[in-house]
Amino acid sequence: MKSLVWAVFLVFCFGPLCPLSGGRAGSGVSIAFQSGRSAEDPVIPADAQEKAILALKALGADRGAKAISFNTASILGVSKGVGFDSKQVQKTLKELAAKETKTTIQIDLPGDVLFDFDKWDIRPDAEGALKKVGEIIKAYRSPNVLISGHSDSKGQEDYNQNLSLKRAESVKDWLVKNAALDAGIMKTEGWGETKPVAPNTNPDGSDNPEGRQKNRRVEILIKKQ
Amino acid sequence: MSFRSKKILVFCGVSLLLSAGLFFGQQVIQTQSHNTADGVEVDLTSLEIQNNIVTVKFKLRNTAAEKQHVMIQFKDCYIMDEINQKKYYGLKDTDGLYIAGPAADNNNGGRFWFGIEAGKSMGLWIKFPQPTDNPASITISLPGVSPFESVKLAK
Repeated sequence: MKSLVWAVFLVFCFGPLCPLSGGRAGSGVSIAFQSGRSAEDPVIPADAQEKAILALKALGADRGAKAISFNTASILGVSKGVGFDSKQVQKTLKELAAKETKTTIQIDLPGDVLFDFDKWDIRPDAEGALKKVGEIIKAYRSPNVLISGHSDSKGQEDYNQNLSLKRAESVKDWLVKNAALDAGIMKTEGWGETKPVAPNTNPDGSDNPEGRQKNRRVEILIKKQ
Repeated sequence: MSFRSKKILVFCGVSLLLSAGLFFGQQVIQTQSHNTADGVEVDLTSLEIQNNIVTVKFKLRNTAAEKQHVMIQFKDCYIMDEINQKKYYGLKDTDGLYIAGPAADNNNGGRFWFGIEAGKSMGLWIKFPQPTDNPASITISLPGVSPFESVKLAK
């Protein structure tokens, strides 16, 4: 019986209904524990709520509401939003072989990876790379993204120009639908065969498949905020 | 000691342990990681609404092996009502200081800027206006920390 009395006493002293527990069930706070936990559980000054009420009144009926801009909206829905300086983003930039300057990031995606021959539908196995591009745009909260399609020199010039534009637009559409990016920040261009990054032919005039492969690409220029 | 007394003693012991757990532990609504301070985890521990004012409390835990310095400018903290596409910054007093703490200094209306020792933690609190459209949930954004999404706004 003595043990029982002790047990009840202990539960009363340290149980959830104990006034000394202070944290969850009780309304009081033990001074001894408060000093030990002050850094972890800072005490809100007694006049803070009063000041807040005054501040709220001063804000008026809309309580200082601001419209959510694209830059804010772009991070919504990202369960793990990341800043541009995070390790994860830096790793993604490396994986995409991105070229970074003070104001921009350029990512070149090979056309052969993104699209099948003569097509502009995004290949399913290209989605991983595009997802990473979307993450970079979000991380930098870019206000301006330029997507440029390029082709090699095979085929008619007009046809290539049209195909490269359609491919750029496909990339944009994918990013809007799948990366929840605002279409308004992305512009598309189709340059056809006019801006090669490698020769389409060898010096002897023969075909240069490797060069042509490099020229079939989509460039994504991400402007930093 | 009778069998009944033993049973009661065991029951009381369990109650005691549970109570101790509640006492030393702390409720966590959601946890997000700090993006630049390696190993710093930010727990949203409390959200209360009173007089149309939302008071949020966080606990910044340094799980790394080294001391980490964390700076959070109160001016960059806000809550979002995603449904109604509105955001609300922290409330400021008549001196232009954010009603938030602890503040290391008054720079830009006040900022949390402390070194947290390895294995230690620090609390942080901020007062915001309650969104006018009474959304069921909000997103809380602290600079450098992944957003706390779908946080229920229960009175």
